[in-house]
Parts: sequence; structure tokens; C-alpha cells
Amino acid sequence: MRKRLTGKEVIHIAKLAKIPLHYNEVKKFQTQLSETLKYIEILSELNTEGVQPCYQVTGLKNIGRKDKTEKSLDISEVFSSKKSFKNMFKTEAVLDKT
Amino acid sequence: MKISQIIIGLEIHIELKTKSKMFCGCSADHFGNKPNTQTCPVCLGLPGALPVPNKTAIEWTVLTGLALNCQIPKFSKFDRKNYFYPDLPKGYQISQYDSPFAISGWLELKNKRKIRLRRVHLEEDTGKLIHGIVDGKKCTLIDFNRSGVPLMEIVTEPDIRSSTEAKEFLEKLQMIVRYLGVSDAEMEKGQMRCEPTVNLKIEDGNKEFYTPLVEIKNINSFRFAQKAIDFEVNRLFEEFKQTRVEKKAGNKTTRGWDEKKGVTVLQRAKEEASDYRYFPEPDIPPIEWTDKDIENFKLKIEKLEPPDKKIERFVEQYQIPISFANTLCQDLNEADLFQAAVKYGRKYGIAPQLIANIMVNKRIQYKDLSPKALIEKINLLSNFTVSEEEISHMAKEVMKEFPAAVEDYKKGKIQSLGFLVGQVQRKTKGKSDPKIVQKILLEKLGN
Amino acid sequence: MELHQLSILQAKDGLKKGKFSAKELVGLVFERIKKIDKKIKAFVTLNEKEALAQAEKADQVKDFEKKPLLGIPIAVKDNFCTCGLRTTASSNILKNYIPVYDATVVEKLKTAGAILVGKTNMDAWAHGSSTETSDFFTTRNPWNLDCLPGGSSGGSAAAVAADMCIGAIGSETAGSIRQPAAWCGTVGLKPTYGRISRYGLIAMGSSLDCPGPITKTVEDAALLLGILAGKDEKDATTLPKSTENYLKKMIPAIEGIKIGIPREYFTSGIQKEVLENVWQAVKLLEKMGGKIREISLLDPKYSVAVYTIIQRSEVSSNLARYDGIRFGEGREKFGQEAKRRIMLGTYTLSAGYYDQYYAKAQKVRTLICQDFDKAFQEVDLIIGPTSPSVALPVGATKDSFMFGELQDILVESSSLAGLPGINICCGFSPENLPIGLQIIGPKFSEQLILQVALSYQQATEWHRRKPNL
Repeated sequence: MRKRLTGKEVIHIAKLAKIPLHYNEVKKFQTQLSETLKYIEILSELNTEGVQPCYQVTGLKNIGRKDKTEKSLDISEVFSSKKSFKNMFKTEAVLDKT
Repeated sequence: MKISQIIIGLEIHIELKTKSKMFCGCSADHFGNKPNTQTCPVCLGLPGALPVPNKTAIEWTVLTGLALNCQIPKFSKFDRKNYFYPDLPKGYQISQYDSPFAISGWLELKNKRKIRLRRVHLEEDTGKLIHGIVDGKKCTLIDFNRSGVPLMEIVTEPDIRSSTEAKEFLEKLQMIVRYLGVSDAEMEKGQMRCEPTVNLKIEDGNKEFYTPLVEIKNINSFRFAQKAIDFEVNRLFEEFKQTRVEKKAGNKTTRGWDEKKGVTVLQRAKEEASDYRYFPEPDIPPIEWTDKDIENFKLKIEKLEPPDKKIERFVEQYQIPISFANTLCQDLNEADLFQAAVKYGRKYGIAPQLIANIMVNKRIQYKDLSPKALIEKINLLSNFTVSEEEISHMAKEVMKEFPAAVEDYKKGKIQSLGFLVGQVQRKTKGKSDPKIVQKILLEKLGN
Repeated sequence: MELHQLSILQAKDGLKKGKFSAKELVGLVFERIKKIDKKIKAFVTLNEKEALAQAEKADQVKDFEKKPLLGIPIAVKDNFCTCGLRTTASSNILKNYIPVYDATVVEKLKTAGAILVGKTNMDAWAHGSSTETSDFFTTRNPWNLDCLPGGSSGGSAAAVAADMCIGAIGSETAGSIRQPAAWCGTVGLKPTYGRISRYGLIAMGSSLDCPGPITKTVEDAALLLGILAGKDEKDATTLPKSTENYLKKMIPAIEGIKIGIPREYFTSGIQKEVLENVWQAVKLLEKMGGKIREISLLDPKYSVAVYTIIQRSEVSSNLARYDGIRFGEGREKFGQEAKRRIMLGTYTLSAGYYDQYYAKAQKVRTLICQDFDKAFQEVDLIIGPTSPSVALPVGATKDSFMFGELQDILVESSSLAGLPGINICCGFSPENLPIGLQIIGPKFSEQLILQVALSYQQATEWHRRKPNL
């Protein structure tokens, strides 16, 4: 049977998900997430050998668009929610992507 | 201790020159444009926006795969690659994980070695980041014009054995995609990007060791690719001599090429395998090709003569040096112009070698010329090597051969002069200046 | 009957015949809102000025032929992007967000001449079945102000039930249209997945989300479905199958229709009053000519697990774009429920767990689809209760970390299979809380579902009852 999620695991998940977590929230989420995981364990009762996964219920295939240009957003629309810095979005300094 | 083998694999990204982006209708021609003027809810990752794939980008990826001798699986799909970075507006990149459009291909080098290709897949490009300072504080500025541009990723097996081979591979690949017309693949413009992964097999006595893998980033020319690999090979060897650290799961590092200093610099101390949590893209139905579809793709490729075959043919058919053939075949349009010009130039006795020489050395601005216009310009430029004496001699002969034309001219038919000039041109293989020919003929006819 | 109490068809008729103007109708709706929405709190943003201007225009142009919804006041759930009008998904992150484009659904409503009344409250990011997890405030059930309206389209359902609009639009990932419709006593239609475009709908579970109508009558739902359905170039998952004019073909049908009653949907976990009323409805349908037979479906508890995994996995990815850089607030503003779902979804997709959770869930999803295929070889439609209970009291969701998924146990299977389903009111509890009956059909069977629902509606009076406000 599944063990309870550790605090370390919760912190790791929060980091992957970029969810800022206060130190004192970790325990709470440990409990809550573990309870949910306990419930979904019941899937292991079902035999799915040889069963294809269902990623698309529509049954559609090969949907695409012609390669032609459409009108882009006006610069005022692009920056309607945030201030622009020389027509660019600003965020904290990041290290080079590795 | 010596290096017994250099092991290189390449990961190459190529920007497709479609009109519109991969998943939306914004223009894909982004280079040098004012920031954030080519964006929409889809490529900006606004709430509620949905991706719809560009059919041309998909087709071009399949064609590239076929040109690289790949197999085209009947089933492929897009997947989400989830990670956070400011140039990735949705917080995930739509790419392909385990069902790419093309697999298991190869490219043959001059030395007859086949470099195997693992896969060719399609994904979307990210935005561009610029480091800046606002109000005295360091920050990052983002331009999303490039976000969503279609990007083809090509991954080789680690079959490359030297930096020279790597350079040749890149050049061949560049020519192929240019030939297919799917990309301009200019490394300087970022339309073709390369990340080599290098390690060494080292022999010490009768023992063999493999050094850890190093991935090299920030390379923006074929020349630097070669230099960076050379540098890294040396550095890896020296490092192994010092540390004796062998290749192990998880000890791959990433280094950035510093072109000013001519060295690679460590970017990350230890590779933290990123957990991208790939899962099939629910917003895009999968792609399934029929046998007919794949047949049609193959036909399109067969119609296209592969670049190295073309070069061989040019050398043989036109008797031009291989360096000329290479240059002419860089661009499909140029090669076509040359061939058409050769055909047209035969009338004037202008040799293919001359045309090739003039085009390669850019002695004429031929870019927008028709074959006819090009030949006419060459005619003017080419050396009129025949002397006036020779012309006089030829003129006499021509007048003897065509008395009827001489008669006609004397009777007042001016066109006959042109005929006679043409005949002298023919006899002198186009190497006489038509103005002088005309002058001499007029003199003789006047008598 | 007062103007705001009209159904869409009744309002259309009145406008066309000149019995009243669009300006009057819209004006009265806003009067109604001003009078009672402080008790119900169904709306996050109102669009009064623009709505009245549109109403005046409608009265001048009167192009009823071209515009099937001309002058009709419609409320829209706040997860549909409305250009120039605040769209929040009831989340603090989008508290001040104003989209620069319209969702396709909104575009179609506008083209049809509808008047946008305002944006309705919901569980934040559609994560819930109560509307209690809105980051702003809880909407109250018009039938009992101490009870919840259900969710996540609780605001839309409450607005319709309280006659604060003539019709509304909601969205369903698993239950979010049908369940609040059940708790509020309205009609709620979840179409076949892919029937109505998701472009502009703030994504929750991409492979599950369905926009759909919440209305006072079955005919109204048919009308809205016809207007909104269709292939959209901007949504690659929309179906190409040509959409019928559902309203035109609306003749009641029940005679000879084979109806399956899944024994798993009528267990002891269901509230007594709900079971009783649904059985009464089944008996009535049988009397009217329906061929009732008991069937067996895969235990819905598995659907809850499958849905929890797939939905939360997709949520974790869909909510990654909210980083505060291009719009909205930073990720620290996510509410507790959103944080829980994002983290669980991240876990079920993560390295080492993907096969055990996400991949496994998608395989069981196939089994669920096959299970329905098998059932629909025996029967034409499936009927059961929509929700295991009537509206629960305010506060019921606290300390329940899977409240949404557990509440929706009876609707999750059909959502996972992409099937269409409707909720209609089939009675009231002794406390005068509405009880909902759902009719599920195979893909593309909306017409038949609507026709059977119409038969029931015509034989009963439940839909005429109004809450005492």
C-alpha cells in the first residue's frame, strides 16, 4: 500500500509546478495530497493489459491549417495588461537557459 | 594514454521558412523586426487560446526526413514538454516526444561514412530574451515574435568521429534543407542551431575508458562548431588525465562556447535531469498517414535531385571544376539559372566554363536576370579575342559563301547585313566584337 | 408573467410581435439583478451600459430573421473570454484581466444578436462543484439562500433560476453544467465533446471541457445548441459533423425509445428523495411509451479516480501560463484548491509516476468508452440521477479535498467518454430543493436527448416553478 508523501516530495512537486509554498503549508499538503493519492490507487484493481490509452475522444485525425498569415495583435493590445519596456515584457533577471 | 576515438553526436534545430507560425497565423518571418509586433493570443499564451498545426510545416518535416533517408511512421502526434522559463509563454512547449514524424535515417559523408540519424521532429520555437537594466536593477526583457515559429529538430547518433566530419555534416544538411526550400538555414541569423555532444574513448595500456559527455551550446557558425569541438576534445583529454573521471549516468555537463576567448565554459555543475512531464497534446488530434500519403511524399522527393548528385553531374556534364559546381549548387535557383544560361549560350558559342566562371566570381550581378539577359551581358563582357585582321579575313570568306546576301544588301535589304555579321560571329565563335565586324563588312560591301 | 421570467423562446416571440422592446426587457433584467443579486451573488461583472446600448440598437434594426437571439439577455460564465470586458475565472490571478479577444462562443452569441448581461461566478478555474471555491465570494442557491448552487457553473445556473437573465452559458469538464443545473432546477446541456468550440474558454481539462447552455426550458437549450455548435478553425478538436437545427426538429419522442437504468447509479450512496423522484420520472417515461431496462455500467468509483488523474494532470499544464509576466498576478495568488490540483497533477505526470497514474488512467478511460459503447448497443439512452444529493448547505466543501470529484460521481463517466448529457428538473425535496434527472446518450445524440427531455417537460410542471425571492 502506498506510503504517505514525504515533505521532501511535496517541496519537490511544488518546485516543479512553480507553486510558492510557505514552510508551514508543506505538512497540510502532505496530508491532502496523500489522501487523494490513496483514493486513486483503486485503479490498480483493473486489468488494462493490452488496452490502448484514450488521448482523444473525438476520433479526429490530421487536423491542421493552411500556411497563410493572419493579422497579429496590435502592440497596444499586446501590452494592454502589462507595461512595456521598449516594446518588451519585463521579468526578473534569469540565468542563461541550460 | 591516448585518445582512441572521438565520439560526437549532433542536435540541430532548423527554423522552417513557412509564411505563418507553427500553431497560429502570425507571420513567421521575425528576424530583425520590432519586438512583439507578430504575436496573437495563441503564441503569447493568453488564457483560452488554442493551437492549430501548420500543415506545410508538417509536410516539410516529412520531406526533410525522407531526404535524410528516414522512415516515416504511419502514426505521429504532438506532446507537451512542461517547464518554466520566461521565453516560454504557455509554460510548456508543444513538441514531439515518442512519436516523431521521421526516424532512423542517415547521411553519407565524403569519406563514405554513414552518419545515422535518430529522428526528425517538429516543435515550436520560444521567444527571445535580452538582459537589461531597468531603474538600475538587472532584469530580463522578452520579445515573443519568435515564439511559435516552426522548428525542426534533427538528432544524430553519436557516429561522428571528428570536428571536420561534424562541419561537413552540417554543411550537407544545410544544403539539403535549402534545396528542399524549407529553410534558409543561416546560422548567423539563428535559422540553424547546433549543439554537439562530445566525449572520448581513451586507451591506457590495454584498458579502455570513456570520458563523461559534454554538450556544447552557443555555437553560431560552422567554423565555431569545428573550433569548439576541437577545443573540447583537448580539454576532455587533459581533464581525464587529471581526474580519471569516467562516463556515468548523470555526470553529463553543459558548456557554453565563448567565441572571443576561444574556450568552452561550464554552465551547470551537475546535470539535473529535467522532469518535463511529457504527455500527449490534448488540443491537437494525432496524425496518421495512409500508404498513399507516404507514396506522395516520396514522389516529391524523388523529383528533387539531391545536391551531391547535382554537383557530380555539373562537373561531368559541363566540364567545370568541382569548386565551381559546389558554389553554383548552393542555391537551387542559381543552379537552375546556370543550366538555362548554358543552353541559351550555345547559340553564341559561349562555353559553360565561361558562364560558371563569371557567376562564381560574381563578375556580373546576375541575381534577377533571365538566362537570356545573363548571356547577353556575358557576351558584352567576354574578351573579343579575334583581331581585326582575322575579322577582315572571315568577312571576305563569308561574303564569298553568301553572295545572295551580299546582292540583297546592295539592293537595299539592310537585314542582310545583320545576317552577314552573324555569320562572321559564328565563324569566330562569338569572339569577335560585333561592332567591329559590322564596320569591316560595311567597308567591304561599300566597295 | 413578468418579462424577466420569460424563456428565450417566449422573449423572442414577444419581441418579434412588438409586445415589448429589447430595451424594456434588458432594463427589467437589470432591475431584477439590482434587486436580488445582493442575496444571490451570481455575477462577478455586469455589462449594463453596453447591454442597454446594444438593446437600443436591436430595437432600431429589428433584423430578427438574421439574428435568432436578437435582444435576448444572456449571462456568460466568467471563464469565457469577452473582449474589453473583465474575465476572471473567479480567480485572484485574473482579478483585473481584460481580454483582447472574444471566445468563439461569445462571438457567435454576439453575431446572433444576444445581449451580454454580465459574467457569472464560478469555482475558481472551474475547480469544483459548489461555487464555494470562488476566490471572490460564494454564490447562493435561489431556492434556499443557505445552500450552494452547485458548480462550477453555479453563477450561471443561479442567474437562470432566479430570472436574472433569460438564458446562460456554462462549461462542463465533468458535471459543471449538469450538476448546478440539477441543484438550481434548470435545464443544463453538456454537448458531445468537440461539438462547441473551446477557443477562448479558459482551459481546465483540455480533453474534457465542453461549453454548453443553461436554460429555463428544453427548447431554449436546443436553440442555443444550434447557434453555438459547429467546426471552428481555431479549435482543432471541434467536430466536422454538420450541425442540425436542433430546435426545428424538436418533436417530443419517447414511444419505443429504449432507456437504460444503470444499477450503479441508484445505490445507497444516493439521497433518498433523489432516488424517489428519479424513479417517479422513470415510471412516467415508461407510461409514456419508453422501454425501460436495467443495465450495468463500470463502477463509477473508477471514473472518479480516472477523472481526478486526467483532469488534474491537464490542469497542472494548463495553469502553467499564469506567471504574471504578460498578464495577471503571480502564482502566489493561486487559491488552495488550485494549488492542490496543480500539485497532484504535476505528481501524476512526473517521472516515475506517469505510467502508474496518467497512462493507467487513460487506459481505463478506454475501458469506460467501451463500456458505454456496449451499453448503447442495448439501449438508446441512459437515465439516472444527476447528483447524489440535493443542494448542500454553504460550508459543505470545507475539509473535503476531493469534494468536486466525489460530488460528480454520476456524471464523470459520460464526461470522460465525451458523451452528451442533459439535466432536467424532476421534482423537489421536502425542503423545496430541486432534484435533477440526467439523460445521457451516445456521441452526436443531442437531438434524441432533447426530444426525450421535451416529452418529459411537456408531461410535467416542474420547470414552471420559481424560487421564492
